[in-house]
Amino acid sequence: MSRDMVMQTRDLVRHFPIGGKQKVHAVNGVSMEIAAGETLALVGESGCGKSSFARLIMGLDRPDSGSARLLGQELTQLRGAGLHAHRKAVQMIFQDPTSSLDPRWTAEAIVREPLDNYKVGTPDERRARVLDLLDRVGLGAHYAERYPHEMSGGQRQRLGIARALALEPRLLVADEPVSALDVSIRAQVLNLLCDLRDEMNLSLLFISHDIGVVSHVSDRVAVMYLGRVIETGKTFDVLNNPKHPYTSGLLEAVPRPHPSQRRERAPLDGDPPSPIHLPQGCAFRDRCPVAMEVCGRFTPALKPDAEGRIVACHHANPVKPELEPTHV
Amino acid sequence: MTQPFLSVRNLSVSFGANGEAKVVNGVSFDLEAGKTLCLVGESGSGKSVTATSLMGLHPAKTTRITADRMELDGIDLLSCDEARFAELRGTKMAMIFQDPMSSLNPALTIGFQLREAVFLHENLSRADQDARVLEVLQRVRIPDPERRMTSYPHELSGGMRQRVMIAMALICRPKLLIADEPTTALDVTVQAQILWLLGELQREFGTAIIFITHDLGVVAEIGDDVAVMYAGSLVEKGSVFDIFDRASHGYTAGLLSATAEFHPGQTASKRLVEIPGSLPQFSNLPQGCNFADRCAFAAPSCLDRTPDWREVAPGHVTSCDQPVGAFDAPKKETAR
Repeated sequence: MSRDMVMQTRDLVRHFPIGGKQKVHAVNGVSMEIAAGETLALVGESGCGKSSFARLIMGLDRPDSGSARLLGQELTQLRGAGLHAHRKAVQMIFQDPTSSLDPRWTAEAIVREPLDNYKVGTPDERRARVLDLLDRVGLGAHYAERYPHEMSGGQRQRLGIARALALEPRLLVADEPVSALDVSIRAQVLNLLCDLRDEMNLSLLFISHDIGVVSHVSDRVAVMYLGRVIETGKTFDVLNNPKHPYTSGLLEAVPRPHPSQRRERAPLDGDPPSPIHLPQGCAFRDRCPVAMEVCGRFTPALKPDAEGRIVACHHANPVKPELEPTHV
Repeated sequence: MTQPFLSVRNLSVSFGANGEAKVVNGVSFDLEAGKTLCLVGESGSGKSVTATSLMGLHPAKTTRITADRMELDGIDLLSCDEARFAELRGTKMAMIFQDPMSSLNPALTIGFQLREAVFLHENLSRADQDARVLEVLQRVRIPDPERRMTSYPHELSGGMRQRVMIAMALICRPKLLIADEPTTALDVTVQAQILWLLGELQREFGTAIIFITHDLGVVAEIGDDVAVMYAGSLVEKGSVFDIFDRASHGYTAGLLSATAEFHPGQTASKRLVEIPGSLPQFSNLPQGCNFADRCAFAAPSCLDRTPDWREVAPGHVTSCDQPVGAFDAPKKETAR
């Protein structure tokens, strides 16, 4: 295992029982890694398991199987004090800056809570650190006494970022951090997040469904579909030359930035299948424009194709010579 | 000159007993039949209130609506009372909303909720009502429509629910559809499906659409005309190409450059252009141009003088005192 991996998961699985023998297959064997200082974007539609995966690596939920190593430590083995110590290194920014802040606490109390929990420095030092953090996220010291309802959405999200950075984490998990913000505010918050990431050499797991935002902030991207990663690679490669038909469909669906580029073909049809009854074979085959007979029989593995691009598709990685696919 | 299908002049809306909160301020626009007007703005810009005023959805007691003209297909909406609005809603105009789950009644079947719209407005037998419901469900491409009539909203995906909402809006064939952020809560692939469907239905029925959104990508995809709103006022209005290629208000220009977009061939991690500051409060609007303190192009005079309306080109107007062409240089690589 390489030394400078901040996070590394292997075949992480999480199924939620929903009564009877049925289960929601939220995360179905996800292997992923994030290097120090790297930003990995996790892209996919709602219900694809992005947030369930984030909860697993935050230690907020436990996987059914598989391994998740953070800073070389096996997260799934940690309990109690070990887990508590570990959480210091991984912090989270949430989508909705209103519901993720306590309305009865002042900005100072909100940012100070993690410092109190981990007994960082003396109370005076904590207070100084809070003011420093507020300053770094662009909220002056006079915001310290304000309550969340006295701030705008963008300011609340800045407060959420300050809280997440208070313990100087190594990995920051940002779950749709700007999708609840107005367009004119989004750019401010994204730039702030990227500046702080670069200053503090943070690794960032950036969960988003917005391809435009992803193309601006991430080094690598992983595309999820129904609990699996179906393509991963450098952001530039994946967005400019997608290898998986689902990635292509997803990129096609993004509205064009100019009226002269309007869509002339019908978009990708249908909805993802139910995560309760997983289809046999490739989960995308029902909607796939190039599905083959073999796609219904074998689940394609996520592995490098001839060009070295990592993709889970039988087109990129034909199964075996004797099973040479025939078109249906 | 023939009267446009929908014509609004100088519409102002204020809330509160004494009209203390003026949330829409002198908005004017026209819309032709079969065309799409995008009302663009951020939260609190007054775009939804503009639309709900057209629909007569505000209680008269607490709302003051004034306008020089508000006409839909020859009907003077200003003189309509609640009973008349109830007649018009559904048959002349209909509205779809952002969140289809909270717009549908969770305790009633899809079929019942769709039928309701028919029996309120038309005198049809039960069998004819069902036939109409089935037909409209097919029109919005809901798979297996017979079975879906007996489904409850929770049994449908988000995209299917929004299709049901569209079906409900279109079932009495209104001439005007107001869509208030109908795809904001949906995934991008489902959004593409819904936009495509709205385009198809518009071509088929000749419906005029007012599409409210904050997403300029969606505007580029479906708009014919665009009206940009900021803090309750219209700031710029023109064809979709006027807005994207020749934005002449500082806010429009700022929005266009602050939007994170993916361009093929773009190298990663480019810094975004920011619009500084935040939206002003209605109770405390700045003097002069509302946007002046955030505007990258503001002159000192912008801070104390309310800007005039200027016609930059035929049909393209802006409320900005900066000389025309100040923002000529396209901020982004435009399409071939």
